[in-house]
Parts: sequence; structure tokens; C-alpha cells
Amino acid sequence: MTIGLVVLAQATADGNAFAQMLVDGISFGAIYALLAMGFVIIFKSTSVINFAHGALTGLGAFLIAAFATVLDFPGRYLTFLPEWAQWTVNVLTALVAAALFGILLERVFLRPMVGEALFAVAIVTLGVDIVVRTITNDWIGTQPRPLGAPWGLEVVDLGWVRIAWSEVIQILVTIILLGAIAFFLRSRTGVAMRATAFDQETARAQGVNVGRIFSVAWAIAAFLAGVAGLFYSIFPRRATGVDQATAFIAFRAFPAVIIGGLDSIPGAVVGGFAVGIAESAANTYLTFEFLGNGFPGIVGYLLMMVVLLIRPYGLLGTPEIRRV
Amino acid sequence: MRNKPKWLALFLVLGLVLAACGGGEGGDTTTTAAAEEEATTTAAAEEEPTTTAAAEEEPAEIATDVGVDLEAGTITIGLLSDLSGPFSPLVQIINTGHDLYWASVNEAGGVNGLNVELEVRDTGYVVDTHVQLYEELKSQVVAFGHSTGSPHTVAINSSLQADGILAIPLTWYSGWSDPAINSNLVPHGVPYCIEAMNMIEYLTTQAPEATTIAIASSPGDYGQDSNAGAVMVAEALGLEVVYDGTGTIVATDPATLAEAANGIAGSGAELVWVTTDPTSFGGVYGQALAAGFSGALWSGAGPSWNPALIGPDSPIAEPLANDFYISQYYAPWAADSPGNQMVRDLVEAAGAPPLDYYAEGVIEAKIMHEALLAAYEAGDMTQTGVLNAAKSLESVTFDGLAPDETYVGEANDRLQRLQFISRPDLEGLAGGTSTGATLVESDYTSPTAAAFQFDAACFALEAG
Repeated sequence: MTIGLVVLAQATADGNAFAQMLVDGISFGAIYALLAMGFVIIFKSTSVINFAHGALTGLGAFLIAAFATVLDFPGRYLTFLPEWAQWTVNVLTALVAAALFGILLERVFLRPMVGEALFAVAIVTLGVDIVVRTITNDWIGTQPRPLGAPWGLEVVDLGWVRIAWSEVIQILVTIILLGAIAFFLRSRTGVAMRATAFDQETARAQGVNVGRIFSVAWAIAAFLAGVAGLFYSIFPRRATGVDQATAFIAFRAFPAVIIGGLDSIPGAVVGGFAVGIAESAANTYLTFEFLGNGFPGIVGYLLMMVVLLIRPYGLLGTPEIRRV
Repeated sequence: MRNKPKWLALFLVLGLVLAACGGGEGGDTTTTAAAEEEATTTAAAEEEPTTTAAAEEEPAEIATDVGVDLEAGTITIGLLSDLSGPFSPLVQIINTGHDLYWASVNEAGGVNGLNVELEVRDTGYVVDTHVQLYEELKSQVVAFGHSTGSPHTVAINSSLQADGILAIPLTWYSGWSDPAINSNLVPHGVPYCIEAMNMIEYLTTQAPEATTIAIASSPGDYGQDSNAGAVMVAEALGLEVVYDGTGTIVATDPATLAEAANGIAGSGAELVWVTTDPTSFGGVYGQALAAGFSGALWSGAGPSWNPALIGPDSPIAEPLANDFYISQYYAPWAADSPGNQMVRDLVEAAGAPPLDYYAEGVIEAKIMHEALLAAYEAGDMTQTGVLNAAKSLESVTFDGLAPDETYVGEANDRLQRLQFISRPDLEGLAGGTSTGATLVESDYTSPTAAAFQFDAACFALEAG
């Protein structure tokens, strides 16, 4: 409450700084939201927290670097397109490859665990994380790999606020993906996914191909993780590209997942933007010496604790009803 | 359903095999055997081993205990390396430097006929693991060719002293110059703290009108030792520290990068000193640019730099090439010195890509080589004998690759104050003629660093 009042008092004093803080927070929050949505989609369909999500993020970003800069595939055959369009096609191809890899992981490592204790399945995802991250890191090697985003250092300067073009694109892409997922959840497969999450056995009895639903969930999560990895690895976030530490960003999205509610996709989005804006506000306004350095890094977790005290199932999560 | 465990086991094994086989640049935790095969003998490699005439005269009897097998003709050296943690990209290259150097020595007859083998362990940059692996290796090796990380090296220091074993710290912490700490350590290169003094004073010669500086760093000995030196030199030169983000930057936490970038951009500083890892540096620099901050001169401790920052697809390449001064403990790849030529020959013969960090492995190996030769000459190749030999080395020369080192005399005599300064070299990197750095100053020390009197570490590091 005190922190909120301090921020509010300072925000009213300088409108431009407030606007910049908000834009930075939304930009950050979009990355968290993309990651959080991936976590939630797998949790919704399998009731398992996917500890391999970081590895999928690193892998997705690496595939984009490989397709967009090293291989230039399939852009090199589409010379009639402008450069930015070639790059976009390369990125989409890499994201499809990431999604296929997600399906492969699910089919090989997770499918055999259907019906086993959820704890055991979660531990398998930990193992998958180590295997995929080790392989990806070996592929990445010792040097960061740039993703070759066509916007470079271009910044939109409106006078009262500055925002990099890459951040504008990132926010637009997040909104589009959010809409696409909302649409998907209302589709036949989406409804089947929700039914599977609610009760696997009953869904199976109703003719839902549960295995296929799991594959779709992993494909979507891997796709979203790749998009998050892309925007995290380009200017202005980490201008040098994807490296062996990229995978760790996924775990920064955990507070967003918990704040929104583990099983709520809108909640993941709300949580993602809430954490992003909270961190940005702390960066801009909570610069008091007694707080020391690094305070913005814990603001997301503080916010998570406050939310859990008020709403133990997150802002939009489903309350668990138990007979006592 | 019955076959699931078999399938799962099969694919897990397949995954691990892929992980082990994938790529070719890093993760090598074996001995030099592979490198021996790779490093075909070159003229330079043959000339390189520095066996002295005195050392070739075999003493009547050579004392040995651990890690030296006269019958088998082997000397075993341990490397406590970060091969999976935050510094693994650098340490993997450094270890290749070790491999290539010792392979060339072995091909040329070894250390007085004894072949050197490496026992490499991955500490993951975890202190507890580091200590465990030290305990494992101390009964197998005659000395440690490097010990990665300052808190890690501090954690094994009392054991090193109790066991009478030598280690070369793979860190540039100023505390290694403290006689109370370094009885079993032979540091090399300019410490972070002195490096900051050198570089910031050098920046003021490039921007004489500058009166303000912003500093930021990673937490721990690396960033905080460096920034302690930055604060000292700022005071000495009358520079105002308008933003102090010492210890702010955590590589895995994007909020901390934004915090440092906002702090620097908001300060309007004319000079910027950032000590962190290269990717985080790129993030801080990029976000400061995005916030409209430009016109300042930037630099940071040696490990903050990586040529990928100015690589062909790096969006920050051009502005960084204008703004940045590279601090180096050894001369860059393309420098014109016999020591650099030796590294280039070793690396090219092995078909490895040109990179600056091999030099660090070669420098560490060269120090160990000199210690082994001196121990052999003294007839004592026990662990303590090699330690004593290293501590008696009056001068280790690297033929221009790095400043000479001495391990005798008072702390202020031994303290390394010399270093190299380079500028980013976009054209050289693109054309393959350099590793992205053009040397502008060799054996440089600033007046403040030259006058600095060492009495304690710039930043106190707690044991364990």
C-alpha cells in the first residue's frame, strides 16, 4: 500500500516519466505474458507444471537464430519479398519447427506418463528441461547468436515517450496471439482441451483424443515460448541474441502465472502485464537508497505474495472446492 | 503400456548421447588426448616449449608424491572449471587453450620427458561443488592449473594451504595480492580493481572535459572489486559518480538490466563503467540507447566484452564501436607479438575458430609449465615442491601475449598493474583479420594505478 502511494505520488508529479514507465512495463509484461500463457496451456490440459518451459524458450530462440540468420531459410528462396518479410517467414518456419519439437517431446517423454502420478510427470519435465537445455546450449555454443531482427535500433520518439520498434511489434504480436488463443479455446479442439483439463477420463469417455490434446498443448506452448524467446533476445532487451542463459527467463514468469491463477489464460496475461508494470514502476520510482540495488527484481514476487494473501487461487484462477 | 519404461529409457539415453555428441566447441571434460590428436605439430609449436638447458639436466633423484608418475612418464594437472555455469562460454575456450598448449608441449617431448595430462572437472560455478571436486582431485593431481571463481577459490584456500597444493586462480580479484591469502596461489593479470583505475583514467584522456561517471556491475567479487577501483579513481580524478549501480546486474533477471540501464540513462553521465557478462552488457547498453542515452564513453572489466557485441547481426555494433574501449588482460588475437603468434599457430593448427580467450588458457598453462620445470630442476616434484617452485619464479614471460609476472618480493612488487587496451574493430571482425579488437595500448598503466599502494583487497570477500 505504501509502495503504491509512493509510486502514485511520484507518477502525478511527472506525466512523461509515468508514460515511459507504463510503456516499458507493458513491453516487459508482454514477454512475461507469452511465457505465462505457455505454462498455463500445458497446466490446463495436463495438470502439470512444465519445468521444461525455459528449455523450450531457449530452443525456440535458437531455432529462430538458426533459420533467420545462419540458414536464411526459406527466405533465401523468396527473394521477391522485401527483407523484413523474408525474415518474418524464416521466423515463422522456426516457430513451426519449435512447435513440432514440442510435439516430439510430449510424444516421447510425456505420453508414456499418462495416468502416472502428477508429481512423477512434473519430475519428468525437469529431466526434459536438462536434456533439451544441454543440447540447445551445445548448439548455441560459446558465443551469443543474433536473431537478425530487421528493426535494428529504430525507436519511435513521440517526445513524451520513446519506444523501440521491436517493442511495438512485440506488443502487437502478443495481442494477436492472445486473440488467436482465445479463439482457439472456443474451437472444437479448444473445448476438448478444456474438457481434458477438467477430467481426463470423462473426456476420453466422450470421445476426446486426450493424447492429441496433449500434443496440441505442447505445440502451442513451444510456439509461445519461441515468440517470447525471440523478443527477449533482440534489441533493446538482450541485443546480442540468444545465449546459454536465455532459458532462465522463463522462470521469471512464474510470479505472473501464480498471480493470474495457474489455470487461467486471461489470468496469465493479466499476471504478465502486472509483473512487467510493477517491475518498471519499481525501476522508475522506487530508487531509494535504503532499498538497495536489485529491488525491481523482487517486486514480482512481492506482488505474488500479496495476491496470494488476498486470493489464494490467483486473480482469475479456479478456486478448489474441498469437502471437509 | 508394458513397454513404456523401455521406450522412455531408450529415448532418455538417446537424448543424453545427443547432448554429449552435439556441437564441437564446448563441454570437453576429458584430458588432452583429443587435443593431442587435433594439434598437428607446427614449427611454432615445436619451438614453443621453454625447456631450459639447466632443466634438461636430470637431477640425481626426483621426489614425487601425487600426480607425477615417473614410470608412466606423466604429470597430472587438475582444472576446476565452470563448464555449465554462467562463465562456461568463456571457460570452455580457456580450457581449449590449455589443451592446445599441453598437446604442443607433449608433442615436443613433454616436461623433461614427462607428458602432461589434464583432469578437468565441471564445478558449474557452484562453491559447494567446487569444494567437493577439489577434494576428489587433490589425491590425483600435482597442482591445479586453474580454479574458477573467487568465492570458490577462497572456499578451497584453507585446504590448499593445509594440503600444500598450488592453484592458479582463474579470476582477477584484488585479494589474490594479499600475502595472508595467496600463500598457495599464483595470480596473473591486472586485478579488477586496478583495471578499473587504468581504464577510467584512460577514458578521461579520451574525454578530458568529462566530470561525471556512471558505474554498474554484477554482484560479487568480480563486479564489486572492479567498482571499488572505479570509485577510488573517480575520487582521485575528481569525477562525480552520478549513478552507482554496483551489484545491480543479475544476468538471469531482465529487471535488473533495465534498472541499470535506466540509472545510467537518467544520470546523463559522460563516462560509463559497467562490469558484467557480455550479454548483460549488451542488454544494458541497448536499453540505455533505447532510452535516448548517447554520447558517453563506455568501458568495463575484461570479461564484459565479447566480439559478438559487434558481430554482423548485432544491432548495437556501430554505436558500440564508437563508444567502447576494450579492457584486456592479454593482447588481442591479431596483436603483433611472438606470444600471440604462438597462440594463433596452435589454434589454426587445431582448426579451431579464432578467439581471444584461448590466450588465458595458454597463459595459465605457461605459468604451470615454468613451475613444473623449476620443480624438476630442484628435484622435488611433489605437490609442495611444485608449489615452492611456483612461488620462487622471479619472472614468467609470455613473449608479448601478456605482461610478465613475478611471484617473489612484496605484495606491491608482485601486483600486476599493466594491461592492454583495444578498440572494437568492425572491419577486422567482418573480414576475418581480427577477433573484433584493435590494440591501442600495450602494457598500459595509469598514474593512479601506478601510485596505488596495496594493503588489502579493494572488496572484502568472505570465505565460503
